[in-house]
Amino acid sequence: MSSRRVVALILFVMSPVLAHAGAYIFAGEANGVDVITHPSPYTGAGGEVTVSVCIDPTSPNAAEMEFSVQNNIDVFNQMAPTRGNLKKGNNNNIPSGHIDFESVALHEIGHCLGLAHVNAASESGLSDNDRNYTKATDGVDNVFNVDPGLDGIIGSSDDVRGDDVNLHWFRMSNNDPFTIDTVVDSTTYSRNIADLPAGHSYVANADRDVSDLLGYIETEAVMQQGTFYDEAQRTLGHDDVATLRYAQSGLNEREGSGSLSWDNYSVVLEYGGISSSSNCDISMKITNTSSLAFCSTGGVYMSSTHTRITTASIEFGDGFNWFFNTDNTAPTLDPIGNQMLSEGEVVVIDITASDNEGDALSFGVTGLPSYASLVDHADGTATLTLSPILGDGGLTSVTITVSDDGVPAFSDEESFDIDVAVLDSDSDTISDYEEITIYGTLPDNPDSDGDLIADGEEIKNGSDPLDPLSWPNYADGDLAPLGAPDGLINAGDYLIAQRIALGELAPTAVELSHGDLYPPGSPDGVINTSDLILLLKLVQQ
Amino acid sequence: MSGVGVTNRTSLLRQPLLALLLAILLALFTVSTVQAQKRVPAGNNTAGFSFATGSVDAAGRLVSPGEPIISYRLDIAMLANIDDRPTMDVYGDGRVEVHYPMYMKRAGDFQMRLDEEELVELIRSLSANGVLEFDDRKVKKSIRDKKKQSRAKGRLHAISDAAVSVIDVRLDEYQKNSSASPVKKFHKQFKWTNIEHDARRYPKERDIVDANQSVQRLRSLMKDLRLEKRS
Repeated sequence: MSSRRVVALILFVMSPVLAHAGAYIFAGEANGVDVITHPSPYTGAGGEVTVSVCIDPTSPNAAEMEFSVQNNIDVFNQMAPTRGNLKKGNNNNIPSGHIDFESVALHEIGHCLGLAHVNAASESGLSDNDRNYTKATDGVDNVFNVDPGLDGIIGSSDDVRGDDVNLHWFRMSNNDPFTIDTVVDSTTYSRNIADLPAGHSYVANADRDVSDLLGYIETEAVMQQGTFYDEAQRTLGHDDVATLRYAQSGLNEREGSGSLSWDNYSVVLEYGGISSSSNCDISMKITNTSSLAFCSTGGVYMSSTHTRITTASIEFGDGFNWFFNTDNTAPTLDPIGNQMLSEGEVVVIDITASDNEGDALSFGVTGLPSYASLVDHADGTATLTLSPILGDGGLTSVTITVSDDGVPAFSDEESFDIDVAVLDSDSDTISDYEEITIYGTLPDNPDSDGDLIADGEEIKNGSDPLDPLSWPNYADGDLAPLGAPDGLINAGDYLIAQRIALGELAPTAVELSHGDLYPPGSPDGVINTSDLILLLKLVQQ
Repeated sequence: MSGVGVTNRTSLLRQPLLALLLAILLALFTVSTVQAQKRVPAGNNTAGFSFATGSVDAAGRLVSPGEPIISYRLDIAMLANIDDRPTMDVYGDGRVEVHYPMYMKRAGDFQMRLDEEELVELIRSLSANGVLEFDDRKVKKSIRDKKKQSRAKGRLHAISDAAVSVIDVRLDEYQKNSSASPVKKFHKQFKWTNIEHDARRYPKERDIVDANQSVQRLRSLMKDLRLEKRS
């Protein structure tokens, strides 16, 4: 370890110790570790530099790319550093198994403007997580020295990197890539690790694990190589903005006014449309490349430590599940609620929905019962008609969906219950439907055979509701009060039975069903002395 | 001491039995691993090679080879910590298994079978395109020299996010041509970053251009219309 430190010291003594940044696209051992790369139109004169971003007209999905590309342009023009720029799972609108075109395009445009990866990335030849070490060359030993230090987090400020020559500029005051200085130039940023704050052994990069380590909401530089599917990263981090601003401090690498500002510039990206114009500085296209995406850049030297982009084109692989972001939002279905009605009733429900973008809306339904119909009026309204007939009673769950025709299409839905009450017009506990279709009894007369015992009571107890000589065999001795037994067995019941046995009262089916006790289990259809004896025993109990 | 004597006697008594048992096991093992092999003789300008097309088990059934003779994998650098990559394995019996990860349009596992002639031709083409003899260091140096020349003219070039093509070829025997020495248990791994760009950028670098043809051929095979989805 100590020998590596000695080598590193020698290197810094030998290197031109300019306190300026690295992590630009052409920086490296071959082209120079101090190289700073500027966007294509910059020639060294200060002012506004306009970069035209176009979509190749021959590209598949060109129209679908437009919204995202224009968002990317806005993000670069705003130059607003953000934290928490990783949106995963339900925090984004990306369907499962898709890769966010907008996030990947933001990264590639960054390359086309001159930015390199903040991490070692695939070009290092390192594998897996080791690619997250801070961007550097492999030094004189031609081997990357990778040790995450005591915190165990790759890319943090305590990494031990041996003779690896740092290519990543850093904020000298704190080496925190999730912050940015008011002034971004060689007075505040450096590539030289000798300028690190006390106690720091290497330059930290804006990797998501480092943001966790430093206690920030999960954040990552857009220029960190490594995206996930189902993940959106559509805004710049502090580190991205600082790298762009450092370059914009110009050839003298000083922001400011007066004599310092002659070479300061600002970048304005403009959307060149779906165009193959020669005015396009950055051209984008989906092709059959096996890569997910890349920016192919050509460049020239402006000085020994400053280069500028001369050509830049981005390709995206057509084999991937790209998600093209859109300004489309889901339509809103106005509340419907549960519906209660009876057989034979007709209920008409007006369904309404709205859409922020005014997209055409269409309605769909699942679980619709046969007595219901949904008519889509193709104007954001629909009519649900419920007209249950006898036999349709019961509970049904229905889901109505409204979908827009945006790209991608979004929808809203509501599930509700339709509760159709069974109709029993004569309240004999048998539904009208069953009386008509099953039992043949009268739906509007609770006692179809006129035996004073309700149809439902007869059916329940196994007697024929259509035969006045058929009645249930309660045989419980409960006869009083006459015609309306009260559930009690007492002297009143005996007196009625006695009057019947004596011929003083003519028994109805009600009295016979309760008072005909003999022979037990198979009554004989009359109430006489034998029944009185048995009834007396019941009264005495 | 007496214990030692007893042990020795027992061992001696068991030796013929053990030998017999070993012989039976060896015979069974030999039967269960009888290899069916395809041999292609080398020509003056064509490669010769052999590979297992399967094996015959103890019951006389033909068993597919367990290890592919050609494997292709594409490592996509932009995708972080995702092990799931597009891959293709080609076995000696012609079986082709293709996997596309869930983030790709063709997501799923596919299978098809090459006939023997196609398989032999595929291996021959890998040899003819130099993949089986690819000298990584020599080609890298040549590319480095070209970049240096370009830089000397003040021209810079960069590709931002890499795709690494990896081809593994395993053959029982490989002979570049009839005048070359055969190599037993041949294994070659070809690995190149951004081969399609380098083939485009350095059209006179025959090793890269030819190897890229093989990579493109394998990629085409991964889209073969005969592939049937298994899951």
